Amino acid sequence: MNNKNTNLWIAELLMLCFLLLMMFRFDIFSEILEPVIGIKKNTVEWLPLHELVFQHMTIVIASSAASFLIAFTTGVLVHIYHLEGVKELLITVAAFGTTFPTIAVMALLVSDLGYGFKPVFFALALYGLLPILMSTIRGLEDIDEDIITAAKGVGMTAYERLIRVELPQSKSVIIAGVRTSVIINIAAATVGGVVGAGGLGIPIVTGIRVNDPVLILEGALPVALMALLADRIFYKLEGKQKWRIR
Amino acid sequence: MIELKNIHKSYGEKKAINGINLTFLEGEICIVLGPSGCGKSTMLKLINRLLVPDQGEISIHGREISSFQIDTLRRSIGYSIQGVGLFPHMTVSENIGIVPTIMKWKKDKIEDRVTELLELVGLTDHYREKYPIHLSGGEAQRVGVARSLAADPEILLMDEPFGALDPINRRRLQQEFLKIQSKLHKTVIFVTHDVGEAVRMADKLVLMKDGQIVDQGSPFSMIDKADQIITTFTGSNYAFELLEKRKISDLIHELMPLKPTTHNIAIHSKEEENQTEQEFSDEMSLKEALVAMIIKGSSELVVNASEGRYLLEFGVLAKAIRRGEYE
Repeated sequence: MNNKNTNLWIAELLMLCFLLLMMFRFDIFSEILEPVIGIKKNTVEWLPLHELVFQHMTIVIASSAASFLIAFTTGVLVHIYHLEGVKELLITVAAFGTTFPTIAVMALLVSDLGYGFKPVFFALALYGLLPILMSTIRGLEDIDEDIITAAKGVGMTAYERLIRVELPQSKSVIIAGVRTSVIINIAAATVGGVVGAGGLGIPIVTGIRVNDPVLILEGALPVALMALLADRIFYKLEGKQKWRIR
Repeated sequence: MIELKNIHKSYGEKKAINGINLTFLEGEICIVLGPSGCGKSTMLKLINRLLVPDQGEISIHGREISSFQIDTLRRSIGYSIQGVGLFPHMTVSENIGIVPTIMKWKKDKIEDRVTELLELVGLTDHYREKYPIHLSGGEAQRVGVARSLAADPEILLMDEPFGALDPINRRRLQQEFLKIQSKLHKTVIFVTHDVGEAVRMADKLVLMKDGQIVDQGSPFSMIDKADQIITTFTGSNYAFELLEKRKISDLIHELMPLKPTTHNIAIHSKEEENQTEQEFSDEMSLKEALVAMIIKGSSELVVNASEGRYLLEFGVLAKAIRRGEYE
């Protein structure tokens, strides 16, 4: 089983190497792409690319962690206490909230929190809530009734039922929600460039301003690669569960 | 001893249980027989408080069940359900050990218990790490039975536990369950709509219809009423199924003894052996004996019992069930 797993992680490792290479030696890529996008026009001085990637990752990880903690806890609580009304209300509110443009929310937050990390963190954490909340609620809801009856029948308390039966049963659905949330956040975190939170939004925004495709790509390519990598990693975590395979 | 007093339960408008009074005795297999929708599964769920009665009292050893802590009550009652209800994400050994696990037994004690139970239900040790999806219907049912026995509960509630099995596996599991029961002497409440299963396994039979008890007692005592009722709702012939509950050896005093055969069977030639009449073991059920008579086209069978050879005549067989009534 170990062998199989390491084999399967090769794609992810390759992607990671690719990302690292890009972070430290983007000049290699820009040289290769030169015939398509032309040469770099501007030599704007800012943080080196790998620092920007780390900033970006910090924003994403912090906001996704916050989203997960809040959404997962809420989903579980609503499930345990059978708050059917609250459940539907939460989903409606969260869905409605997501229709607001990120950039507008961020602008509003900037006026309260000032420039920097905070407004991006709060905006992304807010946007990350919905997919996780939905998947937690639906995942816990959609468990086979017979399994729940059996769990009650053997004398599990509500807490034991949650830990031993309901969460393992809905694990892959919940992780799928987290995956969606994180990928949205990786892309959305580029707006951090506008409000002074740093991250890969900076080269993109600047590139647009000075009309330099190379600069734009310097920001956009690592973002795309991070999103792909995150997708792969969560896909792995969702897991091919042995108990589902005939 | 479990007592149900004047139990009523309805789902909305529909009355599932309509005034039931029943007593289940210790160490007895009580089979509740009735057509689907007669309220028999509901009755089981009332006993382990998966459902709450609208009216009436249920007590175990004279103590009202609502006075128990609910999880403690359920852990002390084995429950095995139709369609198995195993946890798909747990291995066989985790499934069997679930009640001991939540009762916080020590790990090695649980492992030992699982080994013991696997053996009891006739599964080898290599089933331990399998997941329910890898089991056949019969194996899964065995695991289900093992799980319900895990914490050595006094009471077993079984809701058509062998319902999903083919007739051959079903019969095998019934026999094995009876064997297990003869060692463990649990108080078993077993719900089924299969007349054959009911008759074969019952110490006491309860007949249910439309949420009410129609009749109850030993399977033999119910022959007059039951045959009429059961035959109308299942199409199975009650009296015929009853024949399976008696062995030829039960009638041994009614049989006509035959002279012992010559001791030197070994020197019989092959043709002579074929001419000698086919003999039947006294371990055979009367149902099998009747079928054998029909196949042979004869009203007599030669029975080879440990006490000697006997002749079973049809007349004796025909009276056997009625005799059981007075036992």
